[in-house]
Amino acid sequence: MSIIVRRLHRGLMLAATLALLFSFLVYLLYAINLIPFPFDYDQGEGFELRDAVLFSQGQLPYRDTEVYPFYSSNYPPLYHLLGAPLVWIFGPAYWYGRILSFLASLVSACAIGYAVYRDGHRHLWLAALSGLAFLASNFVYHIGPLFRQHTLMVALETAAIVILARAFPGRDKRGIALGLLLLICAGYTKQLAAITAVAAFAWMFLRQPRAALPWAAAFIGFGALIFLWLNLASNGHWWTQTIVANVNQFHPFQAFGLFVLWFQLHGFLLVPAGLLICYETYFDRLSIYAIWFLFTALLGGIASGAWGAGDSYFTTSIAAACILSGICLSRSLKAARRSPPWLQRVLDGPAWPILLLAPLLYLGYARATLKMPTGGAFAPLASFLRVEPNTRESFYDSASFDVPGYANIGYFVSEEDEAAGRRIVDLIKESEGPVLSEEAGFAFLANRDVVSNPTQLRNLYLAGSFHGDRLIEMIETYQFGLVILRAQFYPTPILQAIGRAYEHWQTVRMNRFDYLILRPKSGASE
Amino acid sequence: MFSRDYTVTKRQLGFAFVVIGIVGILGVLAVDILQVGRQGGIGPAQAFALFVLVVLLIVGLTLIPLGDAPA
Repeated sequence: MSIIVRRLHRGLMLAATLALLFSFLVYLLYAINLIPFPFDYDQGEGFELRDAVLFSQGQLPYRDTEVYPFYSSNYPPLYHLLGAPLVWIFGPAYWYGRILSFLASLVSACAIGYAVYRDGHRHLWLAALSGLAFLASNFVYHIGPLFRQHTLMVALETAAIVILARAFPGRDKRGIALGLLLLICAGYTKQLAAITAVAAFAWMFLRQPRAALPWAAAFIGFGALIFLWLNLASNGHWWTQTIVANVNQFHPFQAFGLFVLWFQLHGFLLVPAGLLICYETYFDRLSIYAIWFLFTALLGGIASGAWGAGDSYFTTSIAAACILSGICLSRSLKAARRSPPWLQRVLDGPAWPILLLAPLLYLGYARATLKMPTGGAFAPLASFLRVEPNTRESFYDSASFDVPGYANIGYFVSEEDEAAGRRIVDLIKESEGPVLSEEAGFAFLANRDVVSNPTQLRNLYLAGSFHGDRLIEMIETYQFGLVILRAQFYPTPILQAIGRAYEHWQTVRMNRFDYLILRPKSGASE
Repeated sequence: MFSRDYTVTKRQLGFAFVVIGIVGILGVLAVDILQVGRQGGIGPAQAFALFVLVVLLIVGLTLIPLGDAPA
């Protein structure tokens, strides 16, 4: 192999590393910018905080939505339970939940890097690139530092799969138990982890059916006991609020659009991942990573078409793709280096295509997933890269905001955004009585009750499990000092009641969204 | 079959894929047959399911000749 090819390989690897490190820098700055922001950045963050507050008070968040405050959670408890001690110490705040999620994304990246290093011939550089590639994904980027449970679920899933990959074939009972316990934790962080559990057991069954069955029985039994306890402790609301309310309308074109976007952004990794799966299918044994990837890409992708779902549903498959592509490339490099010396001399080294291809794939991936601010200190670089804002005034996202289901976030918040939020809080403080708001953050800062969870009420209403008579009565008798709408997620009868009893007072723009502030119609008190 | 070291072979996996593929394809097509009068014929979700099942069927058929190699 010529020295030129080796030097070129190192140069390209260095360029790929720098490109992915730049992506990580943007992710870090985004997290640093977002973590202290005291309001909802993504609709729903405040309700996750509400769940943590309820757990800190020893209460379950799975409740009857027909009675005041018409609130219930639709997510399992683990993430919010982790937040409960922090509520005791710091009071209700967003920053610790966001830090928890951000750290979880780093744990996923480390687990991915470790898996590639361990199972891919200990190629440290490619292992590091694989971990960085996960953090560079647009889908991971914008959900990573949110007060949402999804990132923790992915971290638990990834850790479980990486542990099981070695523990099950090695009949390491402690390792298997730990892996399955992490899977239970992932499932009780978010229901979507059920797909990973099915994939893990499908692989275990392929490998050793006799060993897999008792483990599956124990797993199902343990998981079912927790499920039954939660259902009994919540008087059946656990079932209604986390299962019934999560069966939402499916939009095939949303799923299709997200599948296309997923491939456009991650194709540079998906192709080598797919090649490794083909190789394992016909010439080797199927690894847990291959089956995990296939299940999560297919089922997670389909699930992304549900109302309220989105690109984050692909995050687990991206973790699997990062592992598979890293292993594929590191094994290819190893195999290329092992080719006979005479062949290497004849062809100037058959390794050169893969030596150049591996870093080029990561470079291409870094460009495909590029997102960055285009103003301030980033302006010269944006100009150099010929990147112009395409989503917000000063932010570029290679995914754009055109695909339905792709979360329209990722840009940095400004002081004006925080000032706008505080203005809404001041309006609440000046009002009397509870406030009906589509986001919970304002109520927390104004020390008012968090009333209702609009998407949950919508989903329950469509499932025939919410009527809202009492809430409509409160609206029609002007018992809410203000109504704050952003996306008008409430069920139609609730929105109609609001339209009858409340009138638009003013609009406050925060995070580039318009918050409609409504007050009781004139003469309401007469 | 259920010895401690028993493992599923590529042939068995291939047969399983073929069965799932055929039954699945018939099931997806049956949706239209059973819901007579529904407008639009095969919808996008059905088309996607058919695509996945046909791929599964083809993979299954190509796995069967690989015999007792572990899957």
